[in-house]
Amino acid sequence: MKLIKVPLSISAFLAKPMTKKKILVAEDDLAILDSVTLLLQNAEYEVDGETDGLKIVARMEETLPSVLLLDVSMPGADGGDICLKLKKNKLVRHIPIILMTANNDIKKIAEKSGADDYIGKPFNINDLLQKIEKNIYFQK
Amino acid sequence: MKTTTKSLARPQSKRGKYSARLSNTLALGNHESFRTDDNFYRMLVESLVGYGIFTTDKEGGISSWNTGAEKLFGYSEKEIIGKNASIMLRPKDADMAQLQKELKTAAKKGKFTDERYHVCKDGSHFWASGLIFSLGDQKDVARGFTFIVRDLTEKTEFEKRKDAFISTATHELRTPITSMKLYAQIAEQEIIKTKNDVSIQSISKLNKQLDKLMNLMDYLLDIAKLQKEKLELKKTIFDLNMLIADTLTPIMSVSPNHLIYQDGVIKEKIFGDRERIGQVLTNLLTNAIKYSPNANKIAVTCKLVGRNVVISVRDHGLGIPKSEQSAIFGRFYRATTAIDNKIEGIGLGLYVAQQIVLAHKGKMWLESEVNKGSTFYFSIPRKAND
Repeated sequence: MKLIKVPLSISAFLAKPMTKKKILVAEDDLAILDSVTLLLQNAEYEVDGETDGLKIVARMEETLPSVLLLDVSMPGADGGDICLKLKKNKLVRHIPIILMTANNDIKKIAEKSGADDYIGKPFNINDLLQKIEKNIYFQK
Repeated sequence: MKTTTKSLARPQSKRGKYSARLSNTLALGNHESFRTDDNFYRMLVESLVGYGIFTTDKEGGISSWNTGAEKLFGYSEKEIIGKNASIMLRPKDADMAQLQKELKTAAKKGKFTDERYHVCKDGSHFWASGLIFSLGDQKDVARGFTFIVRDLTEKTEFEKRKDAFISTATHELRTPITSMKLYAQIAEQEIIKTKNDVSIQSISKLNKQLDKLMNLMDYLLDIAKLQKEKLELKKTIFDLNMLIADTLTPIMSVSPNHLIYQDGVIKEKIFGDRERIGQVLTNLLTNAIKYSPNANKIAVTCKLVGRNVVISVRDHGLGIPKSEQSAIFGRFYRATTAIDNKIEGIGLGLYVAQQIVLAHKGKMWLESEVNKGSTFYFSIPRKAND
């Protein structure tokens, strides 16, 4: 009995964090990064944050998240350009990218850069969660 | 220098009258000594180096040229005398017809003003204001014209900086509001669980105020953009019915309680800024929904009237009192019926909509009766050519 119980409890313990989907949030504004992290954690996601535009590609290859939330105006690199680069990268191009920006031309930026989806700032929590779920579900 | 001033006076048979006209123009009053002192006048024209001043005959052939004009355009007096004033316009505007039209207006009304690009000798452009005064004793018959051109490059630079400032400021303000809005939403989710009424009400009010702030900033950005892009509509040929359908769908999904139906179909395509016209429609439709809390029918109609397309949005809501109807398109204006019914708003939606319609050389008007509803109309030329 003891022998059976232990692996079960271990697997039960492991099961929850294993099913948590990981999201990489690339955002240079610390308050937005913090609040997005909080809301995603509340929604049972595991969150990775990145504030440096130049490190996003490496971070993506290393963490292989379920979704990338990418701010368009990052210091050091333009979000649209990063998106184009990621979509050419064999390792990570399957990962859905959702662009975030306060810019009104977001639709055009998203179309040009090959992003999977976009959301304008400021956004409604439910809109963001829906977009994330939809993109994980329809992942190519 | 001397030759320049002499030639300025050359086309004049009655010098006194001519200088009086110019000195009046330059807001120097009618003082006797100004009117008669020709030397003073010459000195004056020569000293105004910031202004290009020249005269032409009635066809636009240049007959005099001051130092200011030489500085602005790069042509020396020798080079330019006898040439037509149209060489200082861009090839686009330079057709004689355009200049002739302006001269005709100047002859008729005594003067003509405009702001446009002018072309220098080296081909470079600059933005300048132009004043054309007719020289002549009789109405409609000009002997010639005086042109006063002022370089406005600096002014437009200032305008550009102002627009850039507004758009950067709005963007910078949006960033903290984005995170505030997120924190408030997270807090709201948690507070709702506590079932504490005071906390729930407070956080929901906080959220609403943040939305209001966001809306206000969007409008400010829009106004800054509208002023900047006044003449730069991105015109394409598009299907109006498709645009109406595209605009209705998201609005209907947000307000399922209102029944919006479309009446009339236009077969012909339209030439205009699709996105901006969509914005006008969205503004009118969201207003119709907002201001008809007790009625649910909204009708959108479109029809061709002559060369114009007339689109209307009719609701059966609160209506606008007659006395306020002329003010309703003003910036930040809100109807008393809206305020009395505690419907929140900023008073910029109709202003922005009207600016867009005006930029298309169209018109916007309304018919409304209190408690019966309002119909807002706008018409735009089907082919909105400049």
